[in-house]
Amino acid sequence: MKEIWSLFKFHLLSDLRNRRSVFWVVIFPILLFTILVLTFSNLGVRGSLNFRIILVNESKMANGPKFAEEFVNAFKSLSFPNKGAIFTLSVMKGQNIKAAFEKVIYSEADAVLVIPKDFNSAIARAILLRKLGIPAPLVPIKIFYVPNRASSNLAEGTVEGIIGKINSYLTTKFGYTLKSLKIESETFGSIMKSPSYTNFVAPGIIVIAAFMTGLLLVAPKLALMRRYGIMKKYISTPMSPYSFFVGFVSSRLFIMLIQYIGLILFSMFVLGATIRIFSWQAFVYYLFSCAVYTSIGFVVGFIASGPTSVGAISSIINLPLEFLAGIYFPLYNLPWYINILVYINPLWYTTNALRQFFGVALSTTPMWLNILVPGIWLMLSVAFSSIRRSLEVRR
Amino acid sequence: MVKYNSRLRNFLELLSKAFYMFIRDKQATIMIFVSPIAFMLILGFVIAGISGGTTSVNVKIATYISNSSRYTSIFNKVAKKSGIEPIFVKHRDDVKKLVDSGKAQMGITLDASNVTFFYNQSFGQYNNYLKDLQAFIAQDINEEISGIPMYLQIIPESLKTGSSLTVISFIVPGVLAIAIMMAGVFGMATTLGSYRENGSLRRLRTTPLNGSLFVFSLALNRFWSSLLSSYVTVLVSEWIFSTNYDINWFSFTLLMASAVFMSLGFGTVFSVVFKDLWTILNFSTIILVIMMLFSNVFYPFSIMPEYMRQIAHVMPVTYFAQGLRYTLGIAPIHLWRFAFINVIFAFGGLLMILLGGNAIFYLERR
Repeated sequence: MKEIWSLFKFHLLSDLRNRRSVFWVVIFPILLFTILVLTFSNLGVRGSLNFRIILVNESKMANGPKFAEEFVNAFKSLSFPNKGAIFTLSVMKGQNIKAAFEKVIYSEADAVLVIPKDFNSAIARAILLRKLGIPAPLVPIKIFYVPNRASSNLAEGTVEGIIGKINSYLTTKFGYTLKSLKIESETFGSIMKSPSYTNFVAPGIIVIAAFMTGLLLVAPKLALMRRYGIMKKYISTPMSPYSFFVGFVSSRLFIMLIQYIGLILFSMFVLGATIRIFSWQAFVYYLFSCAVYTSIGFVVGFIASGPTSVGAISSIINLPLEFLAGIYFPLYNLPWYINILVYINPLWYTTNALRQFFGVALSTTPMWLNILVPGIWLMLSVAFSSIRRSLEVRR
Repeated sequence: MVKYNSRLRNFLELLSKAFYMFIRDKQATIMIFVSPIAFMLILGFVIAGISGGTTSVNVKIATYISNSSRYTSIFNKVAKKSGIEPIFVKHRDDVKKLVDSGKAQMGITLDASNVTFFYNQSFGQYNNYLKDLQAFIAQDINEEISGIPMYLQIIPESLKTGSSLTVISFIVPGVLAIAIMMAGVFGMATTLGSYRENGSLRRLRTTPLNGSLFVFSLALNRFWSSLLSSYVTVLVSEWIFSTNYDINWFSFTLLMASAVFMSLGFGTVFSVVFKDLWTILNFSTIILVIMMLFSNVFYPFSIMPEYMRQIAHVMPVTYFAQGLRYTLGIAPIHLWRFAFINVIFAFGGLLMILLGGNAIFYLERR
């Protein structure tokens, strides 16, 4: 027991004194978490949106109703700097239409809305004919945009929505009643009502932190010990391999535990997450995932020839595993050969399970699979490491 | 003259030494050739998957209409207008199955008196966009079933900006820009950091070797390999994603050359500022993550909050991606702007490499 305690203390303190370990274990997850929340919490929400729309008024001024002018004013009142606006409007005269198109083509604007020359008379005609019960053609307004440029596409949708509202306003103004179906919505797999991005990403960050600790605090140490024959030297001491293993692994698990608590507190008190922190299932499952990642760390440590090659292996496997775990973005419509990587990715299952246990969303994979797949990784990793170790001892 | 000849000979020797060292380094080769392709494939598929397809933004809606055929034609009209793709199902439960499995981004059931929209919680933040779409669809349905004559009709017209602009073709240049920058920064930082850690720099400091020439020879070897890697990555993306770029190879090479120089320059500067390899790699990782998230590589300026927009404007990767879209023939930019980007990247990079090379040798004095 004393041996285990000494080894535990030694490995723990050596990592806490090492600023590289502290960076990856403490600073990097917090930084990543903060950057992600800062980026995605405010992305595409009202208050952040600002499409650049050019309104080209080709209509001729004439005596009589000035519908075009009213139309322009209605659009202006919905644009910046007015409250709740989601677009900036610049109004141009008809002769500048080519310049307006050029701005959209060169990404300096998102869409061009063109009021046609006969707009005033066409509207007046339509109103009059409808009043008389005679069908009248719709007054066309053209919007020019670049369909697959996201900003342009979204701007086009926004303008269509506004025109729809103007249409509804005109129909009700002229005495028609718009039928209204009851609109409801339901979210499958919801536990928490409309989780914020912070809640959505928090379980994933906890998973990444544990995974990185497994990879970067186990593998390089092991690779270093193997390279300099420290493992062999241990054999010549009275210390049992069991004590070494328990002392070393428990120090990693202890660090992962500190990470878990630290990240939960940071997410709640700094970033305002509202996840279920006292979920015992989350805690138990987290410990299980820590065991899985520690065992993967052992595998990498046994494969790598030295700490530098651990760095190379880590950088190759880290990014794909994180992106294919649905931590930052949900995973949909992937081709089968990428889906294979998702289905064997332990990070995907642990993120899904922790999202459910933290009360964010129901797991998209069955819970038995969330245990089985990482469990298979654990067993395979333990088997591989044991075989490699016993082969090295025999040599 | 003799002095210059000897310098040139020195430089050529350094170049050939760096070349052999580089091609023998399997890790560096993997990093340069494999990682941009892996990065591009994964990110490309993940982001295109959220958009609903690799060719266009395509929201698939699992649709169940109770019994009225009138509603079916109304919904078809609405779908055409809103640019969504309905997947009609025969049973109400099938809506849940499709939404749950991710084969549809959202679901809808239409009855005589109500419309219900269904979402998948695991879609996270993207449900916000879909809920905006819900408002438009609901309004369109109400208008269609009211049968009231409308006054205004919006007619969308596409502006042609280049060849085959698809979702994936818009994502690939951004991912490629990040991947090439990553390979350049990490490659240079790792090489210089390793040289410092194993004491080679200190030893070289005692020789008459010029620091700028030494670092420049390393950079040139990284340069041709990064350039080659960018060609391979674009060709792989053409093959996998069928992007059909109308590539202007001259502009592409020009931009890649200048951008690779810039990333190698950044790698050199990071190696000068930070002493050990780990710190260099940590700092590079953070900077690259910030560059990736706070630039308009994956999302447009129009949907960013003001602070992000300002940060994105100072990120070199924003301009790199812009330039790449131009050279791949999918989004035009003014020629003066393209030239300006190249000049800044190339001279900035060169300056960082040369000055960084001198500084890195100078700092070894201590």
